Amino acid sequence: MDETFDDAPPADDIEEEVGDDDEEMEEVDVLDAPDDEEPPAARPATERITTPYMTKYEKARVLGTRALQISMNAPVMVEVAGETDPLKIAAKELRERKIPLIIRRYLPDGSYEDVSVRDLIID
Amino acid sequence: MVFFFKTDLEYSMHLAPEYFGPRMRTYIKDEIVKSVEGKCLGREGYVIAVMELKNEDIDTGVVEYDSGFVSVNARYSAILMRPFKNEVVDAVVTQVNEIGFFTEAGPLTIFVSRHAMPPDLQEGYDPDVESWISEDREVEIKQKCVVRLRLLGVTCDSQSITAVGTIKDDYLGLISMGFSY
Repeated sequence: MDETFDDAPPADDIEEEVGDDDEEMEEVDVLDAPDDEEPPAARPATERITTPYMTKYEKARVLGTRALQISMNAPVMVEVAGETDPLKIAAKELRERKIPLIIRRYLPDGSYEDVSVRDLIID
Repeated sequence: MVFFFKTDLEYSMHLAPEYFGPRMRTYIKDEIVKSVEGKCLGREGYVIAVMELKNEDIDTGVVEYDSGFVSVNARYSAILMRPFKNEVVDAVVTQVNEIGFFTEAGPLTIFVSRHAMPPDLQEGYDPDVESWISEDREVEIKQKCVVRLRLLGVTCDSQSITAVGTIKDDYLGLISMGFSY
Protein backbone atom coordinates (compact mmCIF):
# COMPACT_ATOMS: atom_id res chain seq x y z
CA MET A 1 0.00 0.00 0.00
CA ASP A 2 2.54 2.55 1.16
CA GLU A 3 4.97 1.47 -1.45
CA THR A 4 2.73 2.07 -4.45
CA PHE A 5 1.32 5.26 -2.99
CA ASP A 6 4.78 6.70 -2.35
CA ASP A 7 6.55 5.60 -5.48
CA ALA A 8 4.27 5.30 -8.42
CA PRO A 9 2.64 8.73 -8.80
CA PRO A 10 5.80 10.82 -8.21
CA ALA A 11 7.74 8.66 -10.66
CA ASP A 12 5.16 9.32 -13.34
CA ASP A 13 5.03 12.99 -12.52
CA ILE A 14 8.74 13.44 -12.86
CA GLU A 15 8.84 11.59 -16.11
CA GLU A 16 6.09 13.71 -17.59
CA GLU A 17 7.38 16.99 -16.32
CA VAL A 18 11.03 16.57 -16.98
CA GLY A 19 10.68 14.51 -20.09
CA ASP A 20 13.99 13.43 -21.58
CA ASP A 21 16.24 14.48 -18.73
CA ASP A 22 18.36 11.39 -18.08
CA GLU A 23 19.68 12.51 -14.73
CA GLU A 24 16.23 12.89 -13.25
CA MET A 25 15.25 9.51 -14.62
CA GLU A 26 18.26 7.91 -13.02
CA GLU A 27 17.52 9.58 -9.74
CA VAL A 28 14.00 8.18 -9.77
CA ASP A 29 15.37 4.71 -10.43
CA VAL A 30 17.81 4.98 -7.56
CA LEU A 31 14.98 5.97 -5.22
CA ASP A 32 12.84 3.08 -6.44
CA ALA A 33 15.33 0.32 -5.85
CA PRO A 34 15.72 0.23 -2.04
CA ASP A 35 11.96 0.47 -1.51
CA ASP A 36 11.33 -2.51 -3.79
CA GLU A 37 13.88 -4.54 -1.93
CA GLU A 38 12.57 -4.34 1.62
CA PRO A 39 9.06 -3.16 2.22
CA PRO A 40 8.09 -5.46 5.13
CA ALA A 41 11.63 -5.97 6.39
CA ALA A 42 12.78 -6.17 9.96
CA ARG A 43 15.31 -3.61 11.05
CA PRO A 44 18.12 -4.93 13.26
CA ALA A 45 18.26 -3.68 16.84
CA THR A 46 21.58 -1.91 16.21
CA GLU A 47 20.05 0.37 13.58
CA ARG A 48 17.10 1.40 15.72
CA ILE A 49 15.76 4.85 14.95
CA THR A 50 12.62 4.91 17.11
CA THR A 51 12.49 6.25 20.65
CA PRO A 52 13.95 4.26 23.56
CA TYR A 53 10.93 5.38 25.62
CA MET A 54 7.68 3.46 25.76
CA THR A 55 4.95 5.68 24.32
CA LYS A 56 1.66 6.06 26.15
CA TYR A 57 -0.06 4.13 23.35
CA GLU A 58 2.35 1.24 23.69
CA LYS A 59 1.91 1.29 27.44
CA ALA A 60 -1.87 1.09 27.05
CA ARG A 61 -1.70 -1.75 24.57
CA VAL A 62 0.91 -3.70 26.53
CA LEU A 63 -0.94 -3.34 29.84
CA GLY A 64 -4.26 -4.22 28.21
CA THR A 65 -2.95 -7.26 26.37
CA ARG A 66 -0.98 -8.52 29.33
CA ALA A 67 -3.91 -8.05 31.73
CA LEU A 68 -6.14 -9.93 29.28
CA GLN A 69 -3.64 -12.80 29.15
CA ILE A 70 -3.27 -12.87 32.94
CA SER A 71 -7.04 -12.98 33.22
CA MET A 72 -6.92 -16.07 30.99
CA ASN A 73 -4.50 -17.96 33.24
CA ALA A 74 -1.18 -16.93 31.69
CA PRO A 75 1.72 -17.65 34.07
CA VAL A 76 2.52 -14.50 36.05
CA MET A 77 6.14 -13.30 36.05
CA VAL A 78 6.08 -11.51 39.43
CA GLU A 79 5.03 -12.18 43.02
CA VAL A 80 1.30 -11.53 43.06
CA ALA A 81 1.27 -11.00 46.87
CA GLY A 82 -2.45 -11.53 47.15
CA GLU A 83 -3.27 -9.21 44.24
CA THR A 84 -6.16 -10.49 42.14
CA ASP A 85 -6.85 -7.68 39.66
CA PRO A 86 -5.18 -8.72 36.36
CA LEU A 87 -4.60 -5.09 35.36
CA LYS A 88 -2.81 -4.40 38.65
CA ILE A 89 -0.70 -7.54 38.25
CA ALA A 90 0.16 -6.42 34.70
CA ALA A 91 1.11 -2.98 36.02
CA LYS A 92 3.36 -4.59 38.61
CA GLU A 93 4.98 -6.72 35.91
CA LEU A 94 5.59 -3.59 33.86
CA ARG A 95 7.08 -1.77 36.85
CA GLU A 96 9.47 -4.67 37.46
CA ARG A 97 10.17 -4.93 33.68
CA LYS A 98 9.11 -8.55 33.55
CA ILE A 99 6.52 -8.41 30.76
CA PRO A 100 7.56 -11.06 28.20
CA LEU A 101 6.27 -9.19 25.14
CA ILE A 102 7.97 -7.61 22.16
CA ILE A 103 6.56 -4.48 20.53
CA ARG A 104 6.65 -4.39 16.74
CA ARG A 105 6.91 -0.75 15.68
CA TYR A 106 5.92 -0.27 12.07
CA LEU A 107 7.49 2.62 10.17
CA PRO A 108 5.74 4.45 7.33
CA ASP A 109 7.72 2.56 4.67
CA GLY A 110 6.40 -0.78 5.93
CA SER A 111 9.57 -1.88 7.67
CA TYR A 112 9.47 -2.49 11.38
CA GLU A 113 11.60 -2.59 14.50
CA ASP A 114 11.10 -5.13 17.24
CA VAL A 115 11.66 -3.73 20.73
CA SER A 116 11.40 -5.82 23.85
CA VAL A 117 9.24 -4.27 26.56
CA ARG A 118 12.07 -5.10 28.97
CA ASP A 119 14.43 -2.73 27.11
CA LEU A 120 12.13 0.28 26.99
CA ILE A 121 12.31 3.19 29.39
CA ILE A 122 9.02 3.65 31.22
CA ASP A 123 8.08 6.95 32.89
CA MET B 1 4.06 -50.74 -3.32
CA VAL B 2 2.18 -48.07 -1.44
CA PHE B 3 3.54 -44.60 -2.02
CA PHE B 4 4.90 -42.79 0.99
CA PHE B 5 6.34 -39.30 0.92
CA LYS B 6 8.38 -37.26 3.30
CA THR B 7 7.14 -33.70 2.99
CA ASP B 8 7.71 -30.41 4.73
CA LEU B 9 4.46 -29.00 6.05
CA GLU B 10 3.33 -25.97 7.96
CA TYR B 11 0.97 -25.78 10.89
CA SER B 12 -0.55 -22.68 12.38
CA MET B 13 -2.35 -22.63 15.67
CA HIS B 14 -3.89 -20.32 18.26
CA LEU B 15 -2.20 -20.65 21.59
CA ALA B 16 -4.19 -19.81 24.71
CA PRO B 17 -2.39 -17.74 27.39
CA GLU B 18 -2.61 -20.56 29.92
CA TYR B 19 0.00 -22.51 27.93
CA PHE B 20 2.63 -19.74 28.02
CA GLY B 21 5.78 -20.29 30.00
CA PRO B 22 8.85 -22.51 29.86
CA ARG B 23 6.97 -25.56 28.58
CA MET B 24 5.25 -23.70 25.73
CA ARG B 25 7.30 -25.21 22.89
CA THR B 26 6.83 -28.73 24.21
CA TYR B 27 3.11 -28.10 24.35
CA ILE B 28 3.05 -26.77 20.78
CA LYS B 29 4.94 -29.83 19.54
CA ASP B 30 2.63 -32.23 21.36
CA GLU B 31 -0.37 -30.38 20.02
CA ILE B 32 0.86 -30.58 16.40
CA VAL B 33 1.63 -34.30 16.64
CA LYS B 34 -1.70 -34.96 18.31
CA SER B 35 -3.79 -33.03 15.80
CA VAL B 36 -2.00 -34.05 12.62
CA GLU B 37 -1.02 -37.72 12.91
CA GLY B 38 -3.51 -40.05 11.30
CA LYS B 39 -5.42 -37.17 9.71
CA CYS B 40 -5.95 -36.55 6.04
CA LEU B 41 -4.61 -33.27 4.69
CA GLY B 42 -6.73 -32.92 1.58
CA ARG B 43 -4.74 -33.69 -1.54
CA GLU B 44 -1.52 -34.13 0.39
CA GLY B 45 -2.60 -37.49 1.73
CA TYR B 46 -2.73 -39.13 5.11
CA VAL B 47 -0.14 -38.16 7.69
CA ILE B 48 1.41 -41.37 8.95
CA ALA B 49 3.92 -39.88 11.38
CA VAL B 50 5.53 -36.55 12.19
CA MET B 51 9.23 -36.97 11.51
CA GLU B 52 10.97 -33.82 12.58
CA LEU B 53 9.76 -30.87 14.58
CA LYS B 54 12.56 -28.72 15.90
CA ASN B 55 12.33 -25.93 18.44
CA GLU B 56 13.82 -23.43 15.98
CA ASP B 57 11.12 -24.31 13.42
CA ILE B 58 8.48 -22.84 15.71
CA ASP B 59 8.23 -19.17 14.77
CA THR B 60 7.89 -16.35 17.24
CA GLY B 61 4.19 -15.92 17.80
CA VAL B 62 2.14 -12.81 17.21
CA VAL B 63 -0.26 -11.60 19.88
CA GLU B 64 -3.74 -11.09 18.53
CA TYR B 65 -5.22 -7.72 19.22
CA ASP B 66 -8.55 -8.53 20.82
CA SER B 67 -8.17 -12.03 22.22
CA GLY B 68 -4.76 -12.08 23.91
CA PHE B 69 -4.14 -15.40 22.16
CA VAL B 70 -0.94 -15.96 20.23
CA SER B 71 -0.92 -17.26 16.68
CA VAL B 72 2.10 -19.42 16.01
CA ASN B 73 3.38 -20.98 12.81
CA ALA B 74 5.53 -24.08 12.90
CA ARG B 75 7.19 -26.08 10.17
CA TYR B 76 7.59 -29.82 10.42
CA SER B 77 8.28 -32.78 8.20
CA ALA B 78 6.02 -35.78 8.06
CA ILE B 79 5.60 -39.11 6.30
CA LEU B 80 2.51 -39.03 4.14
CA MET B 81 0.61 -41.78 2.43
CA ARG B 82 -0.86 -40.63 -0.86
CA PRO B 83 -2.63 -43.20 -3.05
CA PHE B 84 -2.55 -42.82 -6.83
CA LYS B 85 -4.64 -44.15 -9.69
CA ASN B 86 -3.34 -47.45 -11.13
CA GLU B 87 -1.34 -48.14 -8.00
CA VAL B 88 -1.40 -51.77 -6.82
CA VAL B 89 -1.95 -52.24 -3.10
CA ASP B 90 -2.62 -55.08 -0.70
CA ALA B 91 -5.63 -54.43 1.47
CA VAL B 92 -7.66 -56.19 4.13
CA VAL B 93 -11.34 -56.90 3.50
CA THR B 94 -13.45 -55.22 6.15
CA GLN B 95 -17.02 -55.51 4.91
CA VAL B 96 -18.73 -57.70 2.33
CA ASN B 97 -22.15 -57.11 0.77
CA GLU B 98 -24.04 -57.91 -2.38
CA ILE B 99 -22.67 -54.99 -4.41
CA GLY B 100 -19.03 -55.68 -3.67
CA PHE B 101 -16.67 -55.41 -0.72
CA PHE B 102 -14.78 -52.75 1.24
CA THR B 103 -11.10 -53.06 2.04
CA GLU B 104 -8.67 -51.11 4.15
CA ALA B 105 -5.02 -50.33 3.49
CA GLY B 106 -3.88 -48.41 6.55
CA PRO B 107 -6.09 -45.34 6.82
CA LEU B 108 -7.37 -45.68 3.26
CA THR B 109 -10.71 -47.32 2.49
CA ILE B 110 -11.04 -48.92 -0.94
CA PHE B 111 -14.26 -50.22 -2.42
CA VAL B 112 -14.26 -53.05 -4.96
CA SER B 113 -17.46 -53.29 -6.95
CA ARG B 114 -18.99 -56.52 -8.25
CA HIS B 115 -18.24 -55.31 -11.78
CA ALA B 116 -14.56 -54.98 -10.95
CA MET B 117 -14.26 -58.68 -10.14
CA PRO B 118 -13.30 -61.46 -12.55
CA PRO B 119 -16.30 -63.03 -14.37
CA ASP B 120 -16.23 -66.22 -12.31
CA LEU B 121 -16.69 -64.25 -9.10
CA GLN B 122 -19.29 -61.74 -10.28
CA GLU B 123 -22.38 -63.85 -9.53
CA GLY B 124 -20.86 -65.61 -6.55
CA TYR B 125 -22.19 -63.62 -3.58
CA ASP B 126 -23.36 -65.86 -0.79
CA PRO B 127 -25.46 -63.89 1.73
CA ASP B 128 -25.42 -66.72 4.31
CA VAL B 129 -21.65 -66.56 4.87
CA GLU B 130 -21.28 -62.94 3.60
CA SER B 131 -18.59 -63.80 1.09
CA TRP B 132 -17.86 -63.83 -2.63
CA ILE B 133 -17.19 -67.36 -3.87
CA SER B 134 -15.91 -68.20 -7.35
CA GLU B 135 -17.69 -70.76 -9.56
CA ASP B 136 -15.04 -73.42 -8.93
CA ARG B 137 -15.25 -72.62 -5.18
CA GLU B 138 -11.49 -72.14 -5.04
CA VAL B 139 -11.58 -68.44 -4.22
CA GLU B 140 -13.58 -67.20 -1.26
CA ILE B 141 -13.39 -63.51 -0.36
CA LYS B 142 -14.73 -62.75 3.08
CA GLN B 143 -13.88 -60.51 6.00
CA LYS B 144 -10.20 -60.36 7.04
CA CYS B 145 -9.00 -61.75 3.71
CA VAL B 146 -6.07 -59.96 2.09
CA VAL B 147 -6.57 -59.02 -1.55
CA ARG B 148 -4.21 -57.40 -4.02
CA LEU B 149 -6.01 -54.75 -6.04
CA ARG B 150 -5.40 -51.96 -8.46
CA LEU B 151 -6.81 -48.48 -7.73
CA LEU B 152 -9.20 -47.36 -10.45
CA GLY B 153 -9.88 -43.93 -9.05
CA VAL B 154 -8.89 -41.81 -6.08
CA THR B 155 -11.10 -39.03 -4.70
CA CYS B 156 -9.59 -36.41 -2.41
CA ASP B 157 -11.85 -34.59 0.02
CA SER B 158 -10.64 -32.18 2.65
CA GLN B 159 -11.31 -34.75 5.35
CA SER B 160 -10.59 -38.07 3.70
CA ILE B 161 -9.40 -39.91 0.63
CA THR B 162 -11.56 -42.66 -0.80
CA ALA B 163 -10.71 -45.01 -3.63
CA VAL B 164 -12.30 -47.65 -5.82
CA GLY B 165 -10.30 -50.66 -6.90
CA THR B 166 -10.43 -53.68 -9.17
CA ILE B 167 -9.31 -57.29 -8.86
CA LYS B 168 -10.13 -58.09 -12.51
CA ASP B 169 -6.59 -58.41 -13.87
CA ASP B 170 -3.62 -60.77 -13.87
CA TYR B 171 -1.96 -61.30 -10.50
CA LEU B 172 -4.75 -59.44 -8.69
CA GLY B 173 -7.20 -60.92 -6.25
CA LEU B 174 -7.05 -63.02 -3.12
CA ILE B 175 -3.55 -63.49 -1.74
CA SER B 176 -4.18 -64.62 1.84
CA MET B 177 -7.16 -65.91 3.77
CA GLY B 178 -6.59 -64.36 7.15
CA PHE B 179 -5.18 -61.21 8.59
CA SER B 180 -5.53 -59.64 11.98
CA TYR B 181 -3.94 -56.53 13.37
